Amino acid sequence: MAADKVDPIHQFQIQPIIPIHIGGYDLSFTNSALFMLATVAVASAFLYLSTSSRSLVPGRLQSVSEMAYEFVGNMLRDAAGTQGMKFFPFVFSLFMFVLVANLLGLFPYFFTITSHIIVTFGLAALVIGTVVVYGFTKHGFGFLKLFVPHGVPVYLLPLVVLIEVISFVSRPVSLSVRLFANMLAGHITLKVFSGFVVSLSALGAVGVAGSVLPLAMAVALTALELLVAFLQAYVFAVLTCMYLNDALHPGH
Amino acid sequence: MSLNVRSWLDGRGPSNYVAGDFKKRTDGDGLTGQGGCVADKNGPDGTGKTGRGKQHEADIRDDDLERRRRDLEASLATRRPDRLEGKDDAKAGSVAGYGQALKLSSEFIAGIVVGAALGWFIDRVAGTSPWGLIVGLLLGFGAGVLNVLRSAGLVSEFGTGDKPRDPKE
Repeated sequence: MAADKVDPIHQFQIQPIIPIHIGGYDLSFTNSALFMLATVAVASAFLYLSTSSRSLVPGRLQSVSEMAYEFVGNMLRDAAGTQGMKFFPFVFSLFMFVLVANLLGLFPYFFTITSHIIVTFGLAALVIGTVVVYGFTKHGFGFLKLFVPHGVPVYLLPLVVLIEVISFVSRPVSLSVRLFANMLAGHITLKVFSGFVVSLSALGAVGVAGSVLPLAMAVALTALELLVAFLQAYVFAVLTCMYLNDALHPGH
Repeated sequence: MSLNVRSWLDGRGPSNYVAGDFKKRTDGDGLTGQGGCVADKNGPDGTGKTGRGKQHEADIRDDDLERRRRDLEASLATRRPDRLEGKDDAKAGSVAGYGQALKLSSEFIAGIVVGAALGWFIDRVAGTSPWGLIVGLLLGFGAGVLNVLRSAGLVSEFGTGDKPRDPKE
């Protein structure tokens, strides 16, 4: 039990809450699924309740919702133009989901769903899937112009196209790895420093005095994590907008 | 703001501004002129001579003020962007640098991983081991470098051979 408390990886373990096994597949309702539901519930409830009064002069909560709306709207319009606004619900949902998931993960004893690469990769695959499907339905094979830069000599074309294809395929990987690595590394660091506080204060008066240092560090790291939670949600949304721009205007 | 930009585009850089300021001083129209103004004002006031002379002095002073204001505007226009940029760098230096480093490294690693994975997959399907992995790794390295350069805004975006977009951050 004591080993569990200072184990920095323990917080990422997936535990089934309601075991469900269908046809040899483990479809259990886990703590990860619980927190995904909680994320969706919190985000929807916040947006619904804060905008329910619909006053012309917004109150505090309503202005937070409006700021989030305008923030994502401007981001999308800057990156993909007014045509990109048809993807606004998609990008806004992604942004709110990642942001709320990151912020919920900052609470003690809460599970951080974005610290699992399969979750972030699922989100990134959704983005790239949208880009590819929309690009092909809108432009047909003209979408493949994305992989052929202008002004490249013909004899270099096969090599360049191969590299561009790999570069395109690596986008969801880097998108998901970035979010996952940030959240994982931040939470492990936080846990390690908090663990120092616990194990130092068990050493008597000197230990308690010494544990002030890692405690201060943990507080500072919590502030940094809060920033990272916002920053990564923002980066995720910005890159989504840029990729959607490629689907809308391949080859420009 | 448009005026500021125009004056900046006119090539009124810091050096121009300094030269203008220097010229003004040597002309005797600026500081010395003002000094003369003050002395003259005392003079006519003492003799009780008012009206036209004073009006003339006021014109000179207004012109002078106007020109100084324009010079100040131009110099502020040339300095303001620099200062803002510097402030941003100083403020966000550590956090933005950390973010940038993570971003670039993840781009690079993703390129190599995807290249190697594709090569390995081709090997498995076509049975060309180990050549698919080798070629895939090399191409993935190229794609990783391309990702990093593109993410840093040094290479054109997808599908364009034009000049790159303005560098991000």
